[in-house]
Amino acid sequence: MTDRQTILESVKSRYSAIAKAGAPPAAAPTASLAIPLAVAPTANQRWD
Amino acid sequence: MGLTDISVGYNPSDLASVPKGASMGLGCGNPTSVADLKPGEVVVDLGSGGGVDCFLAAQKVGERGFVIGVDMTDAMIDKARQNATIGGYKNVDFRLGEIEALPVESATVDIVISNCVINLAPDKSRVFGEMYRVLKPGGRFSVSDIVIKGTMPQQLRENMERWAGCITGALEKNQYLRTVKNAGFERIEVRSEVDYDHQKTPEFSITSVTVVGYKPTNGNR
Repeated sequence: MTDRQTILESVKSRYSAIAKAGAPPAAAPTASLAIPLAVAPTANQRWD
Repeated sequence: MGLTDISVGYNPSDLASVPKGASMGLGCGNPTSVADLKPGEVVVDLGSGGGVDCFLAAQKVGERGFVIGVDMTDAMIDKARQNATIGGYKNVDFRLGEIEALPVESATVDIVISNCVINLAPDKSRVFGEMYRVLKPGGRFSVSDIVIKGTMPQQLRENMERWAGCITGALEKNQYLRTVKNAGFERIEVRSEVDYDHQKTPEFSITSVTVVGYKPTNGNR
């Protein structure tokens, strides 16, 4: 199990570097760099 | 502004209205677009980064409203404050802090927004609990975040580079929504859902969702 401190340090390290660079590294495995395939037809789902 | 910003839901004219550099292509949706922000409202942005969502919110809530951006990295807070100065924003405050322990008073906020950040937190229950605490009764949230469909192998869960890259810290979609509900929210709704083929495996896939929900009007705890 990954400990809390390791997670926080990893996140801080990555986003501190991005803040200083002004953008994420091009090859980074970031979900937000992905290309959307399609908007799912099930949008506006009431869940609760 | 890049293709990434537009592809996740930002309007080019909105992005042109905020300081250059406020958006760094880190979002997975556009939570302010479904937030229905009104003049005078108080907004908190979890993981404010360069400030793009705070600045978009600040334009909508106007000078009678107020926006608080929270981020746990000094460098992001510095960058966001510089951007606020460049843009002349008087109704935005950037605060250093963790989203699991928000530096915000209880029951003082109309709406919490967040863009692709909650998945980074070690304990999502605490994050949603903090959102509930700071919201006024009847307050709401609008968050875009990464969730997964399927089951992510435990070995991958422990990959910290990919956790920090918004992948391996993500909850399974229904687990995410249950966590929101367990925090006390009601009228929870998935407003948009975008599937990615990025990092897709036979076991799981990655999806971004924009979710809204409300703190009950009698929700003081």
